[in-house]
Order: sequence, then C-alpha cells, then structure tokens
Amino acid sequence: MRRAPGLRTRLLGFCAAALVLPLTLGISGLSGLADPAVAQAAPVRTQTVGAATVQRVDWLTDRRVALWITSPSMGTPVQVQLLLARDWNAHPEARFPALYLLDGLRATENESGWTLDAGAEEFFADKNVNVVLPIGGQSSFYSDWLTSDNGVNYQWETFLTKELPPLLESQWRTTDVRGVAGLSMGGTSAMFLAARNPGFAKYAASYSGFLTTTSLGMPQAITYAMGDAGGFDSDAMWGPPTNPAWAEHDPYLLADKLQGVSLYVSSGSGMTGPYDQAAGIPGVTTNVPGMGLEILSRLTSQSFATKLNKLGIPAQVNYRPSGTHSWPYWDFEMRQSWPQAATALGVPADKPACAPAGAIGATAASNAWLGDCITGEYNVPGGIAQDFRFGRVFYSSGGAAYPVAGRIGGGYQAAGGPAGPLGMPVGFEQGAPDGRGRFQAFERGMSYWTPQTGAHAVSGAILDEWGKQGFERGPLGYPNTDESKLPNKPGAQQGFEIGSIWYGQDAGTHAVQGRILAKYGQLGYEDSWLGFPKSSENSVKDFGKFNDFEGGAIYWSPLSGAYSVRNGPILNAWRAAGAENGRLGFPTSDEFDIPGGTQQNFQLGHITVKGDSVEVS
Amino acid sequence: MSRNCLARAAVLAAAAATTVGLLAGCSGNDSTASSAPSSVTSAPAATAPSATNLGTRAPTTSPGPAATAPPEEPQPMPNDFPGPDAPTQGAREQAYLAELETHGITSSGNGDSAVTIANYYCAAVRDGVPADEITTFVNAMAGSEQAVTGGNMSEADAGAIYIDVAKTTYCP
Repeated sequence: MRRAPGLRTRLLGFCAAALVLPLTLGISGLSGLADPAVAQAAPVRTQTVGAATVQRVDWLTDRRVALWITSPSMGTPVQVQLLLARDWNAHPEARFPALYLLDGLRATENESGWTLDAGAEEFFADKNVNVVLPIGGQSSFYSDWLTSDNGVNYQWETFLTKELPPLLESQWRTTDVRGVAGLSMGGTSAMFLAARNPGFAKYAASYSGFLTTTSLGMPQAITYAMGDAGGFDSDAMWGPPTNPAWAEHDPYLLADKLQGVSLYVSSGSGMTGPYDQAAGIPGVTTNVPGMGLEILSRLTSQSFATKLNKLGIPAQVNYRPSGTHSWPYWDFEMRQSWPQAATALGVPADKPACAPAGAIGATAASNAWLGDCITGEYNVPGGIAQDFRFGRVFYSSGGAAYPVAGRIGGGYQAAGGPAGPLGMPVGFEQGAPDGRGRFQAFERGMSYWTPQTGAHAVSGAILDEWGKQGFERGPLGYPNTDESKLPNKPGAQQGFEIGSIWYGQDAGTHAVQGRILAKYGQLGYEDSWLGFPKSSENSVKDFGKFNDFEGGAIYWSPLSGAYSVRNGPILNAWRAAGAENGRLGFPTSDEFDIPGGTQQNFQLGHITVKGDSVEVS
Repeated sequence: MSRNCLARAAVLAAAAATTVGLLAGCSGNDSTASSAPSSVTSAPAATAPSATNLGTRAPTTSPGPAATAPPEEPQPMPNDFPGPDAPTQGAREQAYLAELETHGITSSGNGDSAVTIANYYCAAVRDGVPADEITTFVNAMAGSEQAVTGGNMSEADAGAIYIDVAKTTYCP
C-alpha cells in the first residue's frame, strides 16, 4: 500500500481496461532504478514527442532486465535486455559505460543468442559495464531498411544510435561511453555502426562478421543468407546490389572512418575446430552451411584487415586456424576480446578482490550455487548486502543472512529491494506445495514466482486478504502483477491469475474476479461511479455471483451475464422486490437513458425511474 | 609483429580463462531454473593464473611499406585453445593450386584460402547442399580472393573455375 511505483501493470492480459486508462499510464520510467530515493520521485510520464519511451520493464533477475521500448522510427515496441553492471547495486549512484552485443542473422524474438547460446550473463556478471542486448532483428543487419519486409519496418540503426542512448542515459545509469560487438551480421553492423556514426562507439568488435558487403559475389551471398534466415529480401534492406546503400554499409569501404576506434576482428577458417563435429574427413565439419559462412567471414575479414593495415589503423586481428560459424567460438571470442573492450571503455578488466566473511560468508559457503563474490559487503536499508555471480546475500542485524536470487531476485528489485515494501529477506526461497510456484518470505511481505506469472511481491493489506482466501491455493491463484498505487484515489490494486484485489482507504481490501472484473473494467474501475469494491465475491442462486461496490453492485450469473446496478432508486426497488430471488431475477442490462428518465432490464421485467416515480413491471 | 601478437594473445587468453573458471556454479537451486541455461561447458580449461594488465591494449598492425597484406598465416592461437593447427598442404593441395594457376587464378597468401574454398565445395556437394547455394557461396569466396590478388575475372567466371578444378583435382 505504501509503495509508489511508476509502473501500473493492471492491464496485463486485460483488454477492456485499455480503453479507460489515461495514455500516460504504463510508462514505467524511473521505477527500475535501484536508488530508492529516485524510485520514489514522481515518475517521468511524458517524453519529448518523437522520443523512444519505455512501455514495460520486466526484472528477470536482480541485474538482468527486459525493457519494451516504443521506437518512433520502427513504430513498434522493441525489446532490449540489459545485463546491469557489477556495481549496479553496490554503488547506486554510479553510472556505467554501455557494451552493445549484437546478434546474428537468426536472432530470435525472445532472447539474444548472447544469453541463450553463449554465457554472456555469467561472464559479464562481474564486469562493470551495462551490457545492452537488442532482441529480435532477424536478418536485419541492424540497419535502416529502405522499405518494410515480412511485415516489419527495420530501422535499427536509428533505434540503436539515436533513440536508445538518451533513454539509457536518462533512466538506466548509462554513460555516453559505448562499445559495440557482434557476431556474423552483428559483426558487420558493429563495424559500420561505429564508422557511420562518429563518436557513437569507442570500441567495435566483429566476431566472424562479413566485413565487405560489395566485393564481387558478396551481395548475392548476403541475399542468399537473408533468404535462408526468415525469408527476408535484401532488396528491401539496401536495394539491388547496384544501389549505393550497399557501399554505404560496407565496413571495407568505411574503414577510414574507424580511426580512433579500438577494433577487434576475429574469425575461424571454416574447417573443423574443437567445438565442431568432425565429418569423418580430416578438417571437414558436419556443419557445412556454417563452414561456408565462416569462410566468407574469414576472407572478408582478411580484406578488411588489409585495408586497415594500409590505412595505418590499429586493430587486434585474431584468425583462428579452425572453427565454423557457430556459438561456442563467439562465446570464446567474447572472453578473448574483453580486456581490450574494458580498456577502451575505461573500466578494469578484472573484478576487485573480495572475500565473503561472517554470516554472509557462511550462507554463501552453504549455497554454492551463488558462485563467487563480485562485490564487497555494502550497506542497504536495514542491513548489509553482498553480491555474488548468481545472486545477492542480505544480512539484517540480529538475523541470519539469506540469499535472494533468480526471478524472485528480479521481483525483489522491481519492488524496490530492501528499501521497498518487502524489506529484508527473513527466509530461504522454497517451493510451493503445488510444485509449480516458489516463494520467499521478507520482513513485510512475500514474493511469489511461477513460470507463467513471473515473480511478484505481495504485502500489507492485500497479502492479508489474499492469505485469508487461501494464498495461491485460493480462488485467485498467484499474483501476476506487482501492487500498484492508484492514480486518482487513495488506494492500491494488484493483479492475480484469476482476478484482482483492491485496497481502498475507506472501502477496505477485496477481490474482484472473472466476468464481474471485466464489467468493472468496462465501466472504469475505481474511477467509475462504482468506486472501490466493498466485498469480495459472494455466491447466490443459479450459480450467480456478486460484488458490492461503494456506488452499487455487479451481479453475474451464467444465464444473465454481468451487469451493474447503481445505488439509488433502481437498486432499492430491485432489492425491495427480492433482488435476484424476486420476480425480476438477475439484471440483464446496465441502466440506460430513456425519454424523461432511466431504465434497467432484468430477466423477468424492468424498472424505470422518471423523476420521483419508480415503476417495476 | 607476430611474436608480439603471440604474447598478447596468450595474455588475453589467460585473462579470459580466469573468468571461465568461475562459471561452474549453476542456478538450479532457485527460480532461474526455468530459464534456459547457457552453454559454456566447452569453454577452455581454466588453469591459467590471473592476468596482468599487459593484454589490455590493442596492438597496432604495424602499417608500412611491407605491410600491405593481411597476415597470411593464421595468427598463433592462445596455447589453451583446443583444436588443430593450421592445415598443412600436401600433394593434393599443391596439385589443386597449380591447376588453378593454369586457369589463370592466382591464390592469395600461401594458398590456404583457395584450399578452403575447395574443401567447402567438396563438403557441400557431399552433403547435398543445393547447387544454387553452392554456386552463390563459391562465387562470393572467389570474388573475395580476386579482391585480394587483384584478379579481374568476374566472380561467376572465377567461381566456375574453382568448382571445376576442385571437382577434377581435389574432391575425394
């Protein structure tokens, strides 16, 4: 109840509500900041026209977050995940350089290959940069396309270089010091983004990138590869091979623009390497498409490196004697190139020395899955914390030290961490009896997680009411949103799988479910004439249900549907006639205007009100 | 220069290896268990000592009159990178390169790139890769070689020669 988040997520899975909420809602703005003082400030609800805005923030762990960003240039929400810097929690005032990691031709809509197929999350856990993972963009080369194709309008270069940086700098504690690295098409992009946008990147790395786009035969090979990865048409990207757009994105032809950028170029040879299955013929892999792409990458990387050499532009060039176009090599190169990236971005390559001790040390020792420490101990409201590779450990004075990690760790961050309504952890994470969910207890509430709902904190009066109804085994199921403060009235609301709970300062705490909830939303929730719910759902005859609200009631039964009845002459007359048990039965409409008054229909009649005259028929 | 690169590469590898060693933990005990684990199991063994800062500067590929070509040999790999050395050229490779030469195709460097093109062609045919895909890729490889050697054949003409010569003198 006492939380003041900028995020209001009651819309999840709930279409009708979209019609009645102000447009400014849903911009989460500052809610993701770890600094509680900042998080409590008025969230940014307006943005300059044309600027990208964050629509939604999902905390996947305490330092991995998914942002859904409305891109003006692409006209669609774009997911960007961040792997937040090592000191994100330990130094809540600090800002960090950005390292963009770009994906390959087969980028998926859900997750970057860098976290799915390579170990970026674990590797960067102790690196002091904010890693930026654009999600999606299959076959896009992260460029601004000439026309849309396959129903998408790729404008990645504009998004990555113009729309995203101001947002990261203003809301996600990121500096304007940037590096960009990518594999395959992402390697091509890393080079041309750095070359085409002076000052954008201090560091650019291509792992198995195609570093000429206009050499004889290359446009045709790129066209073939794009057709193979999602059926995209290179004509929509840069036109036919004669179109100047091909040259304008050619790292080879742009090489002179890379003076001053720290460069890393690597490629295998296409032959069987340590991570490939041998085909039974010496040197030849079973991954023949990956062999062809890697040979192209190697040949074009050599051309590009030659050009750099002629221009006198320094680069670290790493040709591996073997290896195909596949992820284990890019994971390898991510690690190989890091010391150079760290220098270019101005951060130490290594984590500082740390050694867990005392109660935190004991907890870390008995929970080996936490991995190594990545920070020293630091103060948080209510105690002391220390961050580990796979989670955090919190110690509150007089208590024990407990780890908080994974999705519940993410939910804890979303709820403000130790400074938020939950306070410090007071127990270990454990499985719910149903085998589906997990939960953890905190000083002032609980956090619940399931694969379907994500992790959400439940606390205060809403926790009391939900608990009274049986927690996750009750009618509401698990929470599927965080609690959000209501915009126009003193109170709060939280979504659950099967309904929502409202807390109103005067009305108390009650749950609304199903069709009754849908009707409530249609009318405008607590801002409507109904106000807050005054009861949870009550059962009546014919499998009917109703909730009382401050301004009336909503009744539902399978035969009649869900309709509101407003306090006043109609409700009085209906109840005087026995309500649903009387001769009128359940309502079959909301009240509506008729000449000279209002009317409401019921299963077996109607009530009209004209002036002081109430007629039941 | 290559000695310099070797030293640097080794230091880079050491730096990487120390961090690899920290990845053994797993989060199976918590709610991240539902997310896809990352596959880093095949990362190099992590026995290298802590790296110094020596490896953190990008070396210059010394420009100068003699440095107008890329390093022709694969650069030495860090010594903990598991895998074969650079391919060696035997009689079959020499015959293939000589036959290319008689058709007017000069190979870059020591011929390793040209041999790689033949290896791709043979493997692709054996695996039943569609002919248009093979041609497209071989042409692009041929185009890249032409760019390096200063050849002036079209990529289609050059590509056809690589394919013919590989077929007749190289594929098993």
